[in-house]
Amino acid sequence: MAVYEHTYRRYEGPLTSPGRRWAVIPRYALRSLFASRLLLAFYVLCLVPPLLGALVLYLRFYSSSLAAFGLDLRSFLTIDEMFFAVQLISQGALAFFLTVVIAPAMISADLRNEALPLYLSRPMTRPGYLSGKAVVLVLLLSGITWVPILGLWLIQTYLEEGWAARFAWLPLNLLIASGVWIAVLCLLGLAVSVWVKWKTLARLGLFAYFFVSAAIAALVDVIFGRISQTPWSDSLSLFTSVRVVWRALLHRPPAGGLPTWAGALSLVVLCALCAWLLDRKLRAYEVVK
Amino acid sequence: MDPVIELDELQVSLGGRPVLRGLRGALKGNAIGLLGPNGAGKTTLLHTLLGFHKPQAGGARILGHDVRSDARAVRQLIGYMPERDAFIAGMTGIHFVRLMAELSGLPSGAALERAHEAMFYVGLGEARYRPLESYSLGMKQRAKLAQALAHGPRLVFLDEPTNGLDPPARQRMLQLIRDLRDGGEVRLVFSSHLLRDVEECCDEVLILKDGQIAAYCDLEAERRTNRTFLELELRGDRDGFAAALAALGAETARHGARRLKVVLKDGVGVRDLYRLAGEHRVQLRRMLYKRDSLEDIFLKAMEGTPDGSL
Repeated sequence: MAVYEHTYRRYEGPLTSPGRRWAVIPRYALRSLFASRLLLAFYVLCLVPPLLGALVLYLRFYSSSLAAFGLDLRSFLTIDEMFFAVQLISQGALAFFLTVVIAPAMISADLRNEALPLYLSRPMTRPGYLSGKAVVLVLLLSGITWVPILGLWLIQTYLEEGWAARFAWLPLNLLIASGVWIAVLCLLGLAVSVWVKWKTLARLGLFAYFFVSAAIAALVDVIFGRISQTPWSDSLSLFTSVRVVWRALLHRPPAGGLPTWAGALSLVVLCALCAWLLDRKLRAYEVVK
Repeated sequence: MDPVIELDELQVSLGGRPVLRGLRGALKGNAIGLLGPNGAGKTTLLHTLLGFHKPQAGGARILGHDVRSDARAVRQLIGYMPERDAFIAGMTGIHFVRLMAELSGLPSGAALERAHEAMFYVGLGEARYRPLESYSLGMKQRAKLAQALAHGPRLVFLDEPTNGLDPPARQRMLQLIRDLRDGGEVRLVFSSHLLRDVEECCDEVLILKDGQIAAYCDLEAERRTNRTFLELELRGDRDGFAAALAALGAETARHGARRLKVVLKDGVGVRDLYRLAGEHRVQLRRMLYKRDSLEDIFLKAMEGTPDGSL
């Protein structure tokens, strides 16, 4: 099928490994996402808090240079799990906003343009397609959550001798805390993207779920009253469930009365529900009963 | 020639409603037409062969590969041009075709090369850097054909490829399909409800009705034999007249209430027909030399009761 010949010929060359083909999707998706300067600027802005954190670590270590200004950062600021909890919360919030911006268009655009039959008529499975889309979110969210936070841990380890021995448990727990949040955001974002074809509506839906779920939890509490000392209705709130799990992972005292296992279970149930919704809707063609 | 599609009592239900009811047979043509009225099951058959729907019973094989157990290999061999508008938003034509080729397993460089070739082949060479959203309907159809060809498949499914096209665009699309067929490098399955399109492009036709095979026609064999017949409209003793014709060595077939199709043997002329009509007191109201067109075959198939096999 050479351009000048205008005839069709079969392809006889080498093929890529079938297990790696899903990686084509994130490559194209990332290229198209970063073609937007607005998104690029937002992504860079998301890295400002860790950069500020790194600056604080640096200034604290070289506080002698600030003594001339009457500032003693060492007594003012302790670098412990609390410092990293603040980073995790700020980056977690930014990850949520980033998901709200990019997730709704990820699959809904393909559904709107009937592109799924094109993907799924190739040697590609539905899990492969979904993995390709999820990897885009995982990469972008990782870039602003656990990667810079672990970077801060490494900087502090390098700057302060003996500090790493006391906080050796922290990297793994930070990784798990970020991983849980990324998994929840990915599945939630993709499920909303599959079920709501309009981007703006999907964004509002994501926002609504985060904030309204907390309101619903409070409302359930008011309507039915507390049956026991434990506020089980809080497990309906995404915010509370994540907070409970993060506090346990960062060795912080529990806030509120929801047990850690209940918070974790509520996140698992949410993820399972999103996976089920994705499985129901993500098909080459929808069969109308 | 090896069969392209083998159907073995294939049954598919969608939403609790049977759509394909026990299809069986083997199709071997270079360009196979799938004909049938809307809702006959043409698109469902293509989708089942692509693995989009699971058969409830029976199975199918494409170029020797089972569509259930060997779905990945089947899809590697197939290029699919869907019926409806299907594209990826925010992409230029060339990026779209390249992405599709890469998803089919071509390395990035080869995919780009093939994408350029495919876009030129379908006549979109000059428009390949334009966003897909800016393409006209005819251009989108051709871009869909390009993505179906870019990875160099052995078999291409074309689902209503001329849908919504104006006459020049339709002719261009049909010409492309005929070129592909004549090149012999790729085999085609052409699903349509437009008889003329199928007749122009295909050498074998499967007619579906209510999810069953209503008729099968080897157009290529029909063309080769180029057999004409006489269609008679008559009044009187049709059966006696038909028996007398058969005694002369002619082939006859009853058609409608008062019609008779007759293939005359060499040496038997129209004069003999008049003589026999006189002997049997039959009035010959009309006499036409005809050839079975796909339309005749289709209409006959729509009248009959299908049994599901070739």
